[in-house]
Amino acid sequence: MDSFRSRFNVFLIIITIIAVLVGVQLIRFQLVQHVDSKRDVPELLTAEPAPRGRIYDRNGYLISGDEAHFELAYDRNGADYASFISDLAPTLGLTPTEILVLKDQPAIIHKQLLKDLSYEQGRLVRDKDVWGFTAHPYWKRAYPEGSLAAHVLGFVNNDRLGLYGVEGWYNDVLTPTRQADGTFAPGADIVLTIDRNAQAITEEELALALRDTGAKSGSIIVANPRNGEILAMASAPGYDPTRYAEIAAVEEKALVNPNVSDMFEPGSIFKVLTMAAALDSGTVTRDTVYNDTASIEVGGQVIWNWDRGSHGPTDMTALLAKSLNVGASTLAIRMGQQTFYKYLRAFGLGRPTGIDLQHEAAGLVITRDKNPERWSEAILASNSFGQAIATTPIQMVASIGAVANDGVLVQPHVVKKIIRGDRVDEAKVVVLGQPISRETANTLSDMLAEAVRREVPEALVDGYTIAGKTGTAQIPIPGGYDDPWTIGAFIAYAPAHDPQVIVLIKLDRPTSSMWGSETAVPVFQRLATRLFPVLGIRPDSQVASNN
Amino acid sequence: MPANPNNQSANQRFTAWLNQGLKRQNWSARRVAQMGLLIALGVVVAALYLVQSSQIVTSTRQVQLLREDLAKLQQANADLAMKISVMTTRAQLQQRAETLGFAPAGNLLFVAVPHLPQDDSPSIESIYSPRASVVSPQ
Repeated sequence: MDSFRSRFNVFLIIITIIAVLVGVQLIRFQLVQHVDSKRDVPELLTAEPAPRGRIYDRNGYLISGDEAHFELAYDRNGADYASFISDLAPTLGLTPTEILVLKDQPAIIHKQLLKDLSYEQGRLVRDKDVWGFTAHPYWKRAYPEGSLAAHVLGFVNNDRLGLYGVEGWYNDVLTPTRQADGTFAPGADIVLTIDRNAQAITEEELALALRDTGAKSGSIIVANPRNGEILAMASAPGYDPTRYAEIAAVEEKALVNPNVSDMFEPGSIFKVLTMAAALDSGTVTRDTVYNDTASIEVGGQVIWNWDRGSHGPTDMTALLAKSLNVGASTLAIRMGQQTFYKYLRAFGLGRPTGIDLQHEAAGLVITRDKNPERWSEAILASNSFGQAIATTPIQMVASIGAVANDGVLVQPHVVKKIIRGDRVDEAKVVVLGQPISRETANTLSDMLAEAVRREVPEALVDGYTIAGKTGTAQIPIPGGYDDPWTIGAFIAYAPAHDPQVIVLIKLDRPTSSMWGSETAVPVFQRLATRLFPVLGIRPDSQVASNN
Repeated sequence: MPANPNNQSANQRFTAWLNQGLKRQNWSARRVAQMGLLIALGVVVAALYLVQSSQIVTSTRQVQLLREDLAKLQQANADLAMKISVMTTRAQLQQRAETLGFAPAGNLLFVAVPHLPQDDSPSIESIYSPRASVVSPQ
């Protein structure tokens, strides 16, 4: 009996121990090692993150996307050198000696024996599965079109962080998102408003312009004034986004998009805004005539016409056509500083346009209200023809685009759609205001078209009416201007009475001529002749040549 | 004739040991049933635990393999997309067109077609966002 009791006790003890062990394990799994269902799963399952979103042009051509690359890792423990040398080394461009030398190296593990293996090479290493050698995938940004639109795109650094341009502004959208189960979903794709062909043509023409005029740098923006879509945005010199690190080491400024980040004194193209304000405020009509003298003294400063000539009785269209500084100053003085700066604010000057590109500058407008110690009547007069005021090229396109767009100011943008799986978010047209009336805008468009016909016929394109304004601006430096250097510019939209495109050409420090009419205008004519058919812009006037 | 204990298997020896003990204890059938139930319950709990554990491990491995497949497909997809885009770059298409005998267009001639709608673009009002804010000049 005692024998049985003791045997049974042993049996019970064993069962109890097993039950306790099971219970302990259950408690450990459920409470101690408890993992919330919403928390990340172990890293083991998420070793290969998803790719960053792709960037397409408006017609669906890939401009920027991730490419799978591999790095070769090596572990000396049990490494099968013979198989690696026979099966993989030739494909990877390694010699047997390079492999065998690894045996004698002190390092047991090389995480990156080779980098930048192609997709095919990486897959081959993985499929062969040679002991001691493996390939780890990683994503790398690639640009099928090379340096096309580099300043618009920005780049992705080694930490997979988008910097500058669209990559920077939309970094959160493009970055793969970590999901509830710890895995990564690919980043959203972006469709730009940029047209690949228009962009390429614009960059080609800008490069030619720099060659022909000797300009040190230059910018061109092509946009739709109706909805603010940027169709092409070029800056020269450009850069190769895959070599951003080398460029940043030499001159980081080269990575910045001058069209949105660089401020300049716009010069005479600014007279469009001065005239818009004068017409809209009722200060003048298009038929108003003033007596133009060669110079005018305002606030103790003598302002001269560009040609130092006196043009006598001059109407408003002639003022624009001949680009008279005395006339523009007269308008600003007649308007008064309050009215003048009210219109500049309404046109969006002195603040960023809000374009979806990183590092946009705000520009600088000195007003009597905000800077009474710096402001003077001379500043007001200078502002009227685009001096003593700092704007960005995109601000000029947006503000003069409002004149083209029946007086309505719209926000420029470079992203048309964001696609995340089945969901498509389309960019809406954002109206920033209406600085001038539709009537004023149409009158001014008419005057600008007439001014081009009269004074810059070199800008005309067969079959199209062009409204535009030339500009030659001095370059400010501390203590004055950097004579004799200038910025030659031309801003124009077409067709003048139903504008579908606005173009700004800006050439910095040209050597062939100091005048925008002689440097930027021919560039516009060549560019527009190539661009209009590509953009599907139909002629609006009688075709002059039919050969 | 009883089997030689030396020839019995471990299982048989354990059963004999248990039977002998139970006979000596002279347990009631009810008590034997209770004990049997207790043991069966323990076995069921252990079995459930083992089945659950093995299923978790199997599922985890399956998920891991599927994710590896997904990663492979993403890599292959990215590779194909890049190859297609490289083949359709502007420079490539231009070269291909030239090889096929095409030349850049010279002077363009626009022909006026009677009754062709002149303007089918949407009106300004229709393309503005209804939620867009309007800022008037101050």
